[in-house]
Amino acid sequence: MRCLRIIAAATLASATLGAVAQGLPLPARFQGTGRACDGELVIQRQTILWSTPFSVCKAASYKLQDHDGNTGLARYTYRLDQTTSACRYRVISLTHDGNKPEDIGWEVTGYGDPKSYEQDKAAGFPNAGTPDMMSCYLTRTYSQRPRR
Amino acid sequence: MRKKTEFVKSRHQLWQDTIDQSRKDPRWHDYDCDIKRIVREFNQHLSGQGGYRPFDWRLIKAMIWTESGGAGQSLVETQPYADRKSGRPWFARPAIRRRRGKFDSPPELAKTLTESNARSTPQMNIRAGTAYLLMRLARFNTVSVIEVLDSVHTIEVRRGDTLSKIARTNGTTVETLKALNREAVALSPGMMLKFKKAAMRKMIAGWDQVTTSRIAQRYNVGDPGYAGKLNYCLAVMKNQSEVAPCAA
Repeated sequence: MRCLRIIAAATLASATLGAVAQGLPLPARFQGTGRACDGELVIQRQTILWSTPFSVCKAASYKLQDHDGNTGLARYTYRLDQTTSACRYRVISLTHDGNKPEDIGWEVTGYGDPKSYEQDKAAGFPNAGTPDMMSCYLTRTYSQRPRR
Repeated sequence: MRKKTEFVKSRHQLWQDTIDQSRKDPRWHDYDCDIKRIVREFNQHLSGQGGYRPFDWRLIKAMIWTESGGAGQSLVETQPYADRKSGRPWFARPAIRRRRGKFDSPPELAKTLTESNARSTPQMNIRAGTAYLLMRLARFNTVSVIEVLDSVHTIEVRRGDTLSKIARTNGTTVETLKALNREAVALSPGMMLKFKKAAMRKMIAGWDQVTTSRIAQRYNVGDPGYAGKLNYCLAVMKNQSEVAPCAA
């Protein structure tokens, strides 16, 4: 029994360290603002969910495609394993402006086609607004009050 | 990591933090002159149409910050306004135009605005967004519009004709036929009717005033805090000194 507990604790610690090593402590919850972006982005260890008035991506499994935390603008890019017709995006790229507090200064961009993401990346992410892209400003929220 | 004793902020408080951070950024004023010019263009162009009342440019600035997350965000450098719906931009979607009526934009804008530059040029994006806002605030009526340069024609009524059939086959409207033939209470074969070319068009009959609550109702889709965000931005702007005057 004790052995099982140790294994479980080690697994949990490993998962936590893995997430922290990737730079974004999970789960992470964000809130959008405005006409096209009101809604939420929720990144869990296994699934990602992004809901806006015009696109609803229900919780789906994903792979972390890119991670760049070395510059002032941290970026985490996730590729959804599958989408539905209500979800317009296959790739979701999240950035944070390192000059701003951790609660604010987040931005998410959805790409309908993974090729659009690759093209945007190759061009240095000019955010030029190709038709299958949508970007939204986000604030990071915390669903539960932290323990005192 | 977040301190354990820190209180969790509400959505609105977080958003206020965004604006408070943004107002310290010198780029907070970057589009002021553009917005003033664009709003002036619309106010001048629409003056007198259906009782249009000019509105304050600061409302557009408040919308831009509400939509984009404030100065310094990369979104502001390309699409400060709300054209971030995937696919065709909202202002160019035929379904909206059919339902709402065609919006009469300033002539220069109608010539130069494209889907592409509304997505890539901030100033055009602001123009497109402002046009869309005003289209949402316009109240349209469908009315019969006579082609003023057309002369009066006559047509003989045949068996089985109705006013709508005559209107449809002769490029006019029932309203025009009734107006030009007031004595023709009932149709009978051989009767001669006058008509002029006319069509049914959606015209601006009036406007909802441009206020934060109206913008939240008519422009916004689902953000329940929209009006509050606009009001917060306006309050922030009220307490700030004006920027340097804009070039004419």
